Amino acid sequence: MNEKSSMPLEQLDENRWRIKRHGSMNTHGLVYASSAMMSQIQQDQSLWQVANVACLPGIVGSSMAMPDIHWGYGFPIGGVAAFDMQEGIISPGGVGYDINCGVRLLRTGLHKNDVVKYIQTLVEGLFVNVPAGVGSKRKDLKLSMQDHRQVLVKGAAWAVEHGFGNSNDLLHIEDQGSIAGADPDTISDKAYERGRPQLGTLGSGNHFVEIAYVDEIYDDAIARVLGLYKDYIVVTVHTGSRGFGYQVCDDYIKKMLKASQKYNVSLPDRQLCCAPLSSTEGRQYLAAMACAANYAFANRQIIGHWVRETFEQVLAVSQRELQMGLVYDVAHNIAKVEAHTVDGAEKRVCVHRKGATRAFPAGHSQVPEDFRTVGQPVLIPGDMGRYSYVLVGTDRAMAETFGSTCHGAGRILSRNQAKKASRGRSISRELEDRGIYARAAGRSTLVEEMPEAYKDVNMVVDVVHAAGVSKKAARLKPLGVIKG
Amino acid sequence: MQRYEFLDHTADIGIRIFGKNPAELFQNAGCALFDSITILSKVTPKATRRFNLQRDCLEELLVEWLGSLLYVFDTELFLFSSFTVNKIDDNCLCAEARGEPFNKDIHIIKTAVKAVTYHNLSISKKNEICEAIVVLDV
Repeated sequence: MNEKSSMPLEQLDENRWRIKRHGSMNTHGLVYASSAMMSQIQQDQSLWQVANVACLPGIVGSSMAMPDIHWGYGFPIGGVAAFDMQEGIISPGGVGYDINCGVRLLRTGLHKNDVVKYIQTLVEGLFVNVPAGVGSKRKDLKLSMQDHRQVLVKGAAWAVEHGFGNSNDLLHIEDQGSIAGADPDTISDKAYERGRPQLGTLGSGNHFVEIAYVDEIYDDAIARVLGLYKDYIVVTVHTGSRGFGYQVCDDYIKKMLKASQKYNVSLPDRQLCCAPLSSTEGRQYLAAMACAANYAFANRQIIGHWVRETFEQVLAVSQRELQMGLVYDVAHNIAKVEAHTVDGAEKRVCVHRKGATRAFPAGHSQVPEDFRTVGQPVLIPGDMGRYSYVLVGTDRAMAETFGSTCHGAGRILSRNQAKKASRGRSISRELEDRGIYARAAGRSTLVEEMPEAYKDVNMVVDVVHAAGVSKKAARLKPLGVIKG
Repeated sequence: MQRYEFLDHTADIGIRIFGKNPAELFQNAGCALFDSITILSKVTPKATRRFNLQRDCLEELLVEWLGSLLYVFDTELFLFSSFTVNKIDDNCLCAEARGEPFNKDIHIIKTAVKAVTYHNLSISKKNEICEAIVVLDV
């Protein structure tokens, strides 16, 4: 798409905007945002990226973006697009390098008043027990080649079999922590090489483990079903498939650049390279992507276990007293083959969610049985200083967004802008003044990840709630965080 | 002549790289990548790695080159600070990179780069100067 021409944008209602089909677009664009957010969004290239995705063959419904939309590579971050299984394509750029980057939320039976005085010790304990930052790893987790292949097929279940957490955890993970169709033979030696030392590591940048408390309940009945109670401590883990996923994405983008030529797909941006879902290349990528997704599920399962151990060690409490159960674990960089109703008929489509979260409604067979009356939990981390949210999926999401919603706050400042804005300030002291103890491995991490580098997550969540594509259940307020 | 500059990109790092010819462009691109990862002046070029790479065009070759350097960094925690291109054409690169293993007492990691993307990737020639744009996923 030509970035110099004007974008034909019309406001549909308070929270929805349509990019009218034009040029080589095969469908409209649909963006969820408030008027205030839209003026911010228009400052970068992300709306053009929504339009570019609409140009891809076999797209079903609109090319969508959630209110945390920002300029990514290829697809925008916050992008959602579904493709027909016969006519449509799959694109590694529509998933991203960090395949199955996602969020896990653990609840506890601890009241915040009993924990606040230990926050610094807990954060330091997490920093010791959960490897964070470049090159950091645990000496007690070594993966053989055979184990590595098993991780790719079994995902979180591999971790449980090896003593990380328990089998109940698996019930509360998207796809029970293992996506079907993973084939370890689709993985390059380079990806194995990168992946082996990095399982059970948090990584860098925006990845974190955060201790928070439930500071507001929006819906008592839903929160109770999810086991969330006001002022009780929860822990959020945000990480993905590490160097393994990055390498899988890189390997398959190379293949897809060739495949796009082979299958005559014209690309508005090279990063959108893709192959038909029905082609060998398309099927191979799906099988490789499933491997990386399962690696990420295992990674969060392992780190979740170390979080439990840290709490037990620091607070000298038993597992029973701690009551640290898994609320849910969601993927927010993924492509999934799912059944959706399109024009009144059930249809299998491949839904790309790049910086977007699945949000299935109450009653859906993919929602854990004990949550089926309320819907699938959706976990939305904000920035380090403000809030995070727990939402649930809705019927409206199923009808309108292929069961998808936002994934986080979304950046508004580039890392350079954040550095400039932080000159002469101590971000860690500012956070401490707000009652948040932060520890980061990377020298610039706290500065680059400072709260004002992100949109206010409240605004993002208000849009998806008001638009009806998910429903607010609870708000979490941070107390302590470790970053990579 | 300026060797490279960092561009503002909301989520990632954009780099504009300059060079009198493709060889210099690729050398400067190596510096720009590791300048975003670490403080270059603290990396001593003690050991040499050789790279023989092939791709379909010069732009893709640039991604392959930076991706190969990043792969060595990610798997061996090896930092590079000096780069020499011995031979380059549209499809083929023979180059050397020098550096040393990461030592947390000496080196500082500024940003952990995940990948070198193809988004907005371009190489052009303006007033006899080669110019490339690359976006890094961080």
